[in-house]
Amino acid sequence: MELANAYPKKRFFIQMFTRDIPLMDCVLDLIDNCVDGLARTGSLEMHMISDDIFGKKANRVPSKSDHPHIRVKFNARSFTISDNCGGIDYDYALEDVFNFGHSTKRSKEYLGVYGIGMKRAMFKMGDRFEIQSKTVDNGFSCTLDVPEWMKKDSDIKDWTIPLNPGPKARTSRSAGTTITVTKLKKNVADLLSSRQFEGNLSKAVGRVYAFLVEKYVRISINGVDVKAFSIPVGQPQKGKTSYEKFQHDGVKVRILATLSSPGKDRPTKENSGWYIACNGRLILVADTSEVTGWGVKPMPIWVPKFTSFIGFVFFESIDALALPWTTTKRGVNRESAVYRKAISRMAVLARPILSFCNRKYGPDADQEPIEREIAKQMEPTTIAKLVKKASTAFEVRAPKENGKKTTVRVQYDAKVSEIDKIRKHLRKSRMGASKIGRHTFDYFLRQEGLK
Amino acid sequence: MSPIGKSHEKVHYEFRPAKQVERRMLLHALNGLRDLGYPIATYEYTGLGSIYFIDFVLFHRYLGLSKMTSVEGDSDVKKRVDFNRPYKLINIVHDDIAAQIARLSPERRHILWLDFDSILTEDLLDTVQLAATQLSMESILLITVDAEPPGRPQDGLKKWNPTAWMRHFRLEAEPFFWQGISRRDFIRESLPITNARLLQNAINQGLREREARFIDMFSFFYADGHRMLSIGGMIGTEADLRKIQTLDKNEYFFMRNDVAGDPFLIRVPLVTRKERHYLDQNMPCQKGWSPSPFEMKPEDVDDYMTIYRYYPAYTEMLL
Repeated sequence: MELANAYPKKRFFIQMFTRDIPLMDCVLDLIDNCVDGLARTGSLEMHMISDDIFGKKANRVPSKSDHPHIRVKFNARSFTISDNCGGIDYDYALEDVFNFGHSTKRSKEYLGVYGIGMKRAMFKMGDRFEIQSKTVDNGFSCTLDVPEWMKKDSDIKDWTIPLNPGPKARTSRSAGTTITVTKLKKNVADLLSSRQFEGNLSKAVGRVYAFLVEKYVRISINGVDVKAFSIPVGQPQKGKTSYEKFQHDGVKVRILATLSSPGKDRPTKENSGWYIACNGRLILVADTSEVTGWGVKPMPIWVPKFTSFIGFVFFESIDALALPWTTTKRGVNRESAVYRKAISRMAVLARPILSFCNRKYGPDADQEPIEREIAKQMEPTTIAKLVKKASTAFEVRAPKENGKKTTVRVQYDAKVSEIDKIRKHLRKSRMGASKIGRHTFDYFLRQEGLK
Repeated sequence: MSPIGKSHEKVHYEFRPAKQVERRMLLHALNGLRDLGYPIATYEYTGLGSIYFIDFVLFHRYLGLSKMTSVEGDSDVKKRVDFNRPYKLINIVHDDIAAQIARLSPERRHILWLDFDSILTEDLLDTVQLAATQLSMESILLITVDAEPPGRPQDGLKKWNPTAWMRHFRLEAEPFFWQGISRRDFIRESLPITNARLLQNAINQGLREREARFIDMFSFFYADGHRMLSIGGMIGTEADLRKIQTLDKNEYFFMRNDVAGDPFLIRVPLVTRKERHYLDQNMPCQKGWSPSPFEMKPEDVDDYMTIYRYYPAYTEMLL
């Protein structure tokens, strides 16, 4: 028997493997590696992040001045990401970090799932990269000229990257990693020099790490701190929200569904829908597609009347591979058993809220349904405050006695010419028709001594 | 559209003898389950009590159920429903039944009767699917629907024929269609079985991600006016199935082990009170027996013999 050659080819990993992933996802992968540094040093247990979110205080929340800092800087010539999240251990770097795929003896990581993110990102961006890392025990550096490295590819022994041992960090706060990519690819350089990309990246980072940024870690992009995406979670004045948790194949799942609170972050299409997080990283934000069950039996298609619906699903596991995310971590693996189980429960938990939303638009145009008033009175809150019991289903009670409404909507058609006359008379040329309606109504009440 | 509709306006529930026979057969079967060790009296009953609450009264009186919830989706009769509540222990929820299903505790066993009086709709099938996902193990799920063709005959032959009916069902229930479904499945005679199969598929879809199966127990077909179909069974395991299969087939002759198979036809012959006394005195009777004092078709005698134990007695009560 003769053995056929099945060696990997560098060209595949450098030119093919990088084609399908957008640059933005590559940057997010590099940020994941920084956050995993915190996991390796034990300062952040990502598989317990939802315990924190639900008020159980599993992780120590550092004061703002103690936040580890991830700095992303780029321009048309170079890309740099540096952090003080603990660094990469030299032995770990020798044995695992540069492998394509993790070994079975992998270190504790919650976001770096597949062992490809960092390499894929660097190969995607440019032809030369430098890495410097320091832990409290050791340090290393490496520089790679990618086209040169690609030339030698006849033996599996050519698949190595030279590392130089370096000094260790003086303090735990200075332990961290810096990656610099230069000789950028033309398309990457074009994007990195665009203001629009910078803005979009900042927005994406604020969304993906909405539960981490500003609480456990500081992330800045070209010197500007990223703000966490604000999700307007609402609490009914009287009643409860939908919540349950279960375990499936080693994955802890928590599902919460509620109405959003009106306020400065008033409900919009942009923040309505399902939020799906794996080990604290949001992989879907305000999703209203069939990926989260909308339009798939028994869930209805998302329509604007469901704008005030907000739901969260947290998947957590010490084994990141058990989580239902795709390799880009920006989508779910819909075939995973734990996700299918979650989808069926999400439909049940969402149902009372969707029924409530349906009732907001009653058949009688004159009578404003009580549900609208309840929705308006939803109070802004946090997830931790919302969940008090192990399992609940959404239920609200009318805030007023007997659920009787004290207001009625008044609507009628008026001639545009007459509305204009009133505007002219009041010397308020921009006054809206509804304000004129309110003004004239109040005028009558005052004039007749009724108010 | 709420699948509940304004059922109390359609028919006076007290004058639906076949429906009452169905209720009493269900009671009989639920007692049988109690004898098998299912703690039926501790089950929570959730139904669509409307303003009549007949099922609630029966289940409380004869099964001892004391945790009961009636769901009413019609906000126009809020006070009327509350006024007609027969027992304080009945909790009335003014919401749509699908929303209430999400609130059914996983810690309790349930009897849920989705006693709709409309034909199959998308909302109704969604509700059935949700129920199958939510109901705890050993719970009983019952569904009643109108098995008449959709639409109205006065709309004309072109709009009221199996092709049009199939079009309606495709719009409302296509996700639950099976391979090879055809116009033949929508002729008037096939509609009950077609309805049952669609409901069965919705139940199975709801159970897909659970380690549970639906144990078919009931399929009733009757007409107190409209032709109605009820199917039902238990959310359980193979062990529950084996247990339920031990029920005496003669005693529970109306039970069915395939809800999409031939249903049990409830036919209630019309007899006077005097005739009924005479018939009862001769029950159970031999095959071929006929009453000598008055005329009665042999098939009516057979039907009477089948249901006489469950036949309701109506009389005028002057309050």
